[in-house]
Amino acid sequence: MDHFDAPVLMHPPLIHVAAAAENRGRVVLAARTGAPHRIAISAAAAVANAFESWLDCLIIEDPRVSALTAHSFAREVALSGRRIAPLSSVTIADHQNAESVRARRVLLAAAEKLSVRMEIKVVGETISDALAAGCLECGPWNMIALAEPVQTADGPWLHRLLDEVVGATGLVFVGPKAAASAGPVVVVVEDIERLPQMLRAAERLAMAGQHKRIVLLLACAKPERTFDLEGIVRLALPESGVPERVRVDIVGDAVPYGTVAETAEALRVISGGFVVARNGGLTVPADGNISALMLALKCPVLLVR
Amino acid sequence: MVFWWGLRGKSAESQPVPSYGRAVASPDASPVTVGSLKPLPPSELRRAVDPASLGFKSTKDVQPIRGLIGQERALAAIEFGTEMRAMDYHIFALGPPAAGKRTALKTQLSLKAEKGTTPDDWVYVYNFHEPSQPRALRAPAGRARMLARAMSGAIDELRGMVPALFEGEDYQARRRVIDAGAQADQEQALEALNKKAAQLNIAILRTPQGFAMAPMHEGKVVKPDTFNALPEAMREEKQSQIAGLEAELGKILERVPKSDKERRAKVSELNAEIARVAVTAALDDIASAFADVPAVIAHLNEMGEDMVRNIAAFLPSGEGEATVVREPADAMRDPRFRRYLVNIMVGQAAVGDGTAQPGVGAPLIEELNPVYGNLMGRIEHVAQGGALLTDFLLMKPGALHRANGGYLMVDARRLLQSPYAYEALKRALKSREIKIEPPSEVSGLGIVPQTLEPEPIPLDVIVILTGEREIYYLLAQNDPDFLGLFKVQADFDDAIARTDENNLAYSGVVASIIAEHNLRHADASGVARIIEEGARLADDREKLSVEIGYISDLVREADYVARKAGHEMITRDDVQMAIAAQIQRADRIKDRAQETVERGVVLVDTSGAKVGQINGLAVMQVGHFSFGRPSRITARVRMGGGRIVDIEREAKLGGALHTKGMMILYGFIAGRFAQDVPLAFGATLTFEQSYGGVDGDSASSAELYALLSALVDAPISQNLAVTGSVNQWGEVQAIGGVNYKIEGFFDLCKSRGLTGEQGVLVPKSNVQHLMLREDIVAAAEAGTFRIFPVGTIDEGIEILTGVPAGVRGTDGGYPADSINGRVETRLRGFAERARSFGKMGNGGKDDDASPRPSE
Repeated sequence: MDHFDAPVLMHPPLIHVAAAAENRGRVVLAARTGAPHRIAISAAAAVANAFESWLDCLIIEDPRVSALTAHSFAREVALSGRRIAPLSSVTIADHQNAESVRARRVLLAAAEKLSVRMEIKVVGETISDALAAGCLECGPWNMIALAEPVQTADGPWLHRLLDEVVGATGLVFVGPKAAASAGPVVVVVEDIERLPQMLRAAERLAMAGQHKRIVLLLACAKPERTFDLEGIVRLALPESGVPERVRVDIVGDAVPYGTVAETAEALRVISGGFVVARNGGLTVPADGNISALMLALKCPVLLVR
Repeated sequence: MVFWWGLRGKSAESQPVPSYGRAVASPDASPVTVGSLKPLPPSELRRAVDPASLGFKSTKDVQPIRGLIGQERALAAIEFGTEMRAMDYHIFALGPPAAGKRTALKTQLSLKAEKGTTPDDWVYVYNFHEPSQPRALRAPAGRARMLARAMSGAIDELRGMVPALFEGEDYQARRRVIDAGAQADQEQALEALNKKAAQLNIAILRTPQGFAMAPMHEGKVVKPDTFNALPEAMREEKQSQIAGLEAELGKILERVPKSDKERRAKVSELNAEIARVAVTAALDDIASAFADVPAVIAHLNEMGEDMVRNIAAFLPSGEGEATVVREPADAMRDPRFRRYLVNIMVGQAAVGDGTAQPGVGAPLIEELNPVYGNLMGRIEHVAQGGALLTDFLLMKPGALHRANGGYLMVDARRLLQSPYAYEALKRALKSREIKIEPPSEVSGLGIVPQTLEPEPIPLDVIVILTGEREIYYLLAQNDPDFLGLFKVQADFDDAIARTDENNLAYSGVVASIIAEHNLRHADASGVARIIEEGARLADDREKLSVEIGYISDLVREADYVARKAGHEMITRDDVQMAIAAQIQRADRIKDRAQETVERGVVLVDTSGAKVGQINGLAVMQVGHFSFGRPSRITARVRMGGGRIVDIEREAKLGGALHTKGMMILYGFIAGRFAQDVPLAFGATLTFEQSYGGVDGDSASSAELYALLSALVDAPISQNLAVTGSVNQWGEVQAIGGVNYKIEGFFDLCKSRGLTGEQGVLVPKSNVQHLMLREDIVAAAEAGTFRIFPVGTIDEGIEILTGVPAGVRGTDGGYPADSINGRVETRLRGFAERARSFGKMGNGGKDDDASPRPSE
């Protein structure tokens, strides 16, 4: 089977800002189907461009499915639910190959359009294993990205994924309502510790995008701390190194009760172009309940540890 | 170029074919006494205007007259047509060009229009049931623009309001409930299935085209060897569990479309509810303002429903629109909103409250370029992707739309020259509605792009066609619809009577021209000279031409001369110089023609006497400029069969009127001299050195004089020239262009030197038309040039030959030495010789095979 293992160079190698001349630190994009989402690829490419990095695309062929076909009773339930048919190893191999080819075609077209360097390879591993292995290849400063929209039920899995892929500093994903947007970069600020890191990421995304604007959405699980947080943020901002041409606005009263639902609604109202949030906070809570976010979210999310 | 030898201009040219009445009495019954004819006194040669008789010093004292003068018949017809105001009583204003018809009509009709009722407005709107058939809506005068503005405003309002409502907490909360509800059902079912599968150690895996299930152990698919090593009962149980889970999963997945359909239905219901709030708020004010116009209300209702159905059009659709501040919509350019706009076909200017401005009255529209589209309106197209597309907003009104409820003036000639325009106008007038169709549809030819079938608009208009008489008669004769539609004939005279009253009115017209063009005023002498020129233009000293266009030109040119001369006012001399300059600019061909005569290239004698030779007079017209030109006519006689050969006709250079004149001439000879003997002579007549066409009968008297002279060998004085037609009784009849003809011969004589013997014979009935140049009048006063009025051939031949014509005596014969006596004798001689020649074998037959005039 041709797995297209050879890397595809779309552009000359770019210098990674974190460690110049080191071949490490990039966005590892995992595509599980033959129809990677346009916005998801754009988001991954935006992050790659913002960090002057490239996209390492992994087309995942789940080995469990291949293993399943060894059983005589292996059957496939069609997406319509109206057909349950026997599944052979030949059939599944053909289908997986076709999906890979299709995914590859879509990814290459997107790379051309988005002017991002991209390498593609097909891997026969589970997605977490594939991403973990991919990140290990190029050191710790990686972002992982999902090429298909996550669903409401995927909340716990997102946490597991970040736990299992230790070489990633964050995760980029889109929801089912993902659509193109040119709004500001919204940073969900829940504590001061992560602010410099998130602000830096937001600044890079803002500079690379159309809107040179960042919105800091203050969201505290303990609302009484919001006021203090705003004061600290305002004090920290001048020292943050955000260039003057990037406008930074602070929204401090959109999450009055510190709930996940309020945060999701605030994000919908702001209509950002990108959301930068921490894992396990009010955007993607630790319990994995992202149903409110999935209903409200239209732009990509960069979830940082 | 055609030599014109007959009546020209107002008489023969512009009249319909005459009917023939009774014959005139024979002049032979009461012969005219000749021998006492004298030239006309100078006072009969020109009717001047005494400036003092005008009663003013200058046009400053004259009330300008913008309308028509002396056109009571036409004005009464227009009054009748406008008062009748029936759809088959349209008006055709016929008359000469440059007669001021258009200006006068506009003046007259504008008075009517001002007092008329301001018509309703008309708009086209989208037809929500049949988009290709836009609907026409009538709105009270002045309200169309208000409706258009209101609709545009409503769209802007909705573009702001709808996103706000749909982004608002109320809508979003309700939407979340619907989405979450549908999602939860499905997710809960899948979650339950997942849990159940996990408890059974069965994994649900995503395959490229669906899902598959496999027994799991510690997160990995159990290999077949391991699985087969299990007891059979356990294997069967596991397979049974998998089959059950597969069936359950199938049912869950099957429910997805139905669940999604239910969700979408709920969302649609919610959207419609929210949309209705916005649409009602946006359209309520318009509905209130147009509560008295049921058609508008009905349209608003349909539009409201359409907006609710398509509320997504008012939501931001692209990245560019996802901004906080939204630019105002250019609804005309946005295909989503065009259907809600209003296309104003007729919209009166309105005051603040939307009512029409007071005093607007009925419309008076003049369409100067009446091509089909300008008249009936047009459906424009835009090219898009190689196709020509259109919609109701691309419909443009025509003159009929703008004139609806009032008056429409159109030049008939231009109308007839425009393809399909005349037929379309008639169709509209007959059906009493305006229907816009592309010309390709009308003609049935060519490729018809996507087009519309707009609802027709009721038509109530009075059409006034203006044009020359020929066009009116042509249409009346050839178009069966014409007289049924244009029942009012406003016939403008070419000229008006030259009375003191009309002289004053003419002065008013001059004052109006001066005021209109901001010229210097004219003193009484200048106005008098202009009036004299008006009479000359009419070719009749008892008439004044109504060619206001020419008079206007003359006044403006006289103003130029006065300005150059530093005069404060236009004087008689200025007018005279302007006329002279006009002639000088146009008379190059006249000069060349006269030069050829003076240099002897064209032979015309102005002294001596010759047999069978006479000076005829022709008028040449070059553009607007006419001039007289003398031409030699000769006759030769011989024995023959009574045949007069018209060489012009034989050479196919003669026109029908000229041929007719020749036949009349034959009738005179035969009637007077061949009562008891056969006409046994042959004659040839020709215009010497004429190489172009010849038409008209004004030279028939000259031809007859030449023939008589040739018959009796009586020399004709070459000092004289002759004009006038003749009838079968020998009466000399009026001709046209008498002034030009006299002036043409005078100019030639003057260049050779006036002798006092020179002059022109003109028909007596033309004396009233004499309006000669002042230099000719001066020559007549000095006795160096003479004009003889002639009533009969006998009078004329006596002047030309100096020999008495002769009166038939009681014995039935003419005196032997008179012209008539000698003609009779000569003809009898021819007859006798022919008889004796016939006995010798020839039978007296003419040797010419050409047909006789009677044939």
